[in-house]
Amino acid sequence: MARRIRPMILGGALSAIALAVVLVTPLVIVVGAAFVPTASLGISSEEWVAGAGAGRAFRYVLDTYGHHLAVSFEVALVAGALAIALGAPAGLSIALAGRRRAARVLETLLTLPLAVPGLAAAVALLGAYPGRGGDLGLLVVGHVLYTLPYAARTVGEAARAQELDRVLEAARTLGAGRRHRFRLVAWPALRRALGSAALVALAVSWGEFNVTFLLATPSSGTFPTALYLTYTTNSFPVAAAATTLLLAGLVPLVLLALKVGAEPEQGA
Amino acid sequence: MAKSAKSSSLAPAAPAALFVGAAFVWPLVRLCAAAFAKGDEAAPGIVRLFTDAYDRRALGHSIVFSALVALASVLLCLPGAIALARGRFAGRSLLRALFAVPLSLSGVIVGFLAVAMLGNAGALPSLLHASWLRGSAFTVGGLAAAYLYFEIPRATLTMEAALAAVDEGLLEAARTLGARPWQVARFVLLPLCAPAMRAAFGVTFAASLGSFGVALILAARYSLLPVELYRAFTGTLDDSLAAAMALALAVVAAVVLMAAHRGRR
Repeated sequence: MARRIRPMILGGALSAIALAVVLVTPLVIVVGAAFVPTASLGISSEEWVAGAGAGRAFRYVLDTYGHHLAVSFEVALVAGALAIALGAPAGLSIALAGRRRAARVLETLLTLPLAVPGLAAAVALLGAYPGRGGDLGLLVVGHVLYTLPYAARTVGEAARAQELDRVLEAARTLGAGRRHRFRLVAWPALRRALGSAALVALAVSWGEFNVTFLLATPSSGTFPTALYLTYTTNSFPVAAAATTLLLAGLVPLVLLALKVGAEPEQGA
Repeated sequence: MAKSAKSSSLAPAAPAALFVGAAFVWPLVRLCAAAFAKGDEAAPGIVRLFTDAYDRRALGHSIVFSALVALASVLLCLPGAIALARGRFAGRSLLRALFAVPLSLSGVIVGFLAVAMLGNAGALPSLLHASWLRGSAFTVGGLAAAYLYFEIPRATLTMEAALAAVDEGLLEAARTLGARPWQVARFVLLPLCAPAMRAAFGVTFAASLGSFGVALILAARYSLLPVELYRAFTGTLDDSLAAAMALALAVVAAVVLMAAHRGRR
C-alpha cells in the first residue's frame, strides 16, 4: 500500500538531505577554522589569518573568557535543577487532575513564557525588579522561565501517555502506600521523562542568549555573552574556537536528549 | 471512576505557578504600565512607537520580514518534513539529529555563521569563486539567508511532529477512487498538511520576530524591532519606549502563535 507513496518520500528525503547539508556546512567550517589555518577553508582575510593556530586560539579563549564557562556550568545546573524541581511536580499533578478547568488554566500559565520572546521577558523582569541587572540570581530566574515549561510538559505527557492516573489509582486500591506508589509506580514510569527534561533544560540554558544578554553584564554573563564579545572584538580563529567550545557542550546534550526520546527543543 | 481527592490535588503545581506569576505575569503587568506611562518624555512609549516614523517602520519591518521568512521556511521544509515524518529509511534518525543540533543554536551563533560563510572574508565566496557573494551577509539577502538558516530546523521539526498523526490511507483512498496526482496533492495532501504548516508558520514567525542575536550581528543597517528595543533599553535609556517595544513583540508573537495553534487537535 505504501509503495505508491515512495516517490514522494524519496523526493522529500533528498530535499531534507540537501537542507541538512546547508545546515551542517557552516558548522563544519567554523569548527574547522578553530583547528586549521583559516586560509585553507577559503576564509582569507589577512587580519583573520594573523594569530591563527589551533592551540593558541583555544588557550586565548580559555584565558580570557574561561570564567564565563564556569558561570555557564553553574547557571545551567541551578536553572536545570530548579526547572525540574518546580516543573516536574506541576506537570505530574496537572496530568493527574484530568480535565479539570483549574488544571487547564495552570497548564496554560506554565507554558505562557514560551510564547513570549526572551528579549521581552528580560525587559519585563528588569522593569519589575530594577537594579538587578548582572545579578546571577535574576539570570537563573530568566533561564528557569524558559526551561520549566519543558520539564512540566515532558513529565505531563509521559504521565498521560502511560495513563498514570489509572495505574496509580489501581496501585492505591491494591493497598500500596504513598511511598510505594511513588517508588514502584510513578518513579519508574517517569524516570525517562525526567532524564530527557533535565537534558533539554541543560541544553536550553547552556545555549540561551536573548534573556541572558540583557540580564547579564558583559563580565557576569554565561558563555554565550562571551561568544558575542569574541564575535565583535576578536579575530576569526578566536571566535571560531569559542563557538567550538560552546558546541562541545551543546551537541552532546542535544544528541543525548534525542536518544532519550526528547522532542528537539529550540535555542534562543 | 471517582478519584480520591488526594491523588488529583493540584497543590504540587503551586510553587511553579507562583514562580511564573512572580517572574513572568507580574513583570508583564509592570511592562504594560511602563509602556503606557509618560515618564520624562512628551508621550507614553506605546504612543511614540506607533507615531514615530522610525520606530513604526522598525515594527513593520520586523513583522513583514518575519512573516516572509516563516512562509519561505514552511514551503522550503514541507517535503523534507513529510519524508522525516512518514518515511522509513536508513539514516532517518541521523538526518533528524542534523536538524536538531542547529535547532538548539541561538541567534548570535547563526549570525556569526553567516559572517563566516558570507562575510567580507567569508568562506563561500572563495570556495565557490563567486566574488559577488563577498560581504553579502550584511545585505538584506544575507540577513534573510541567516534567518532562513535559523528557521529551517524549527519549521522542519515542527511539521514533522505534526505530520506524524496524519492518516496516509486517505492518499491511497483518493488514488484508488481515481483522483489524478495533482488532485491528490491539492485536495487531499494539502489539507492534511495544512495544520502542520500553520503550526510551523506560527513557531517560525514568533522565533524570527523575537530573535535578537541574528539581527544584532548582521542588521546594523536595517532597523528591526529587537535591535531597536535593545538600543532604546541600553543606549537611550528610554524605558517607556523599550517597554512598549517589548510589549509589541510579546503581543504579536503570542497572538500569531495562538492563531496558528487554534483548531489543532
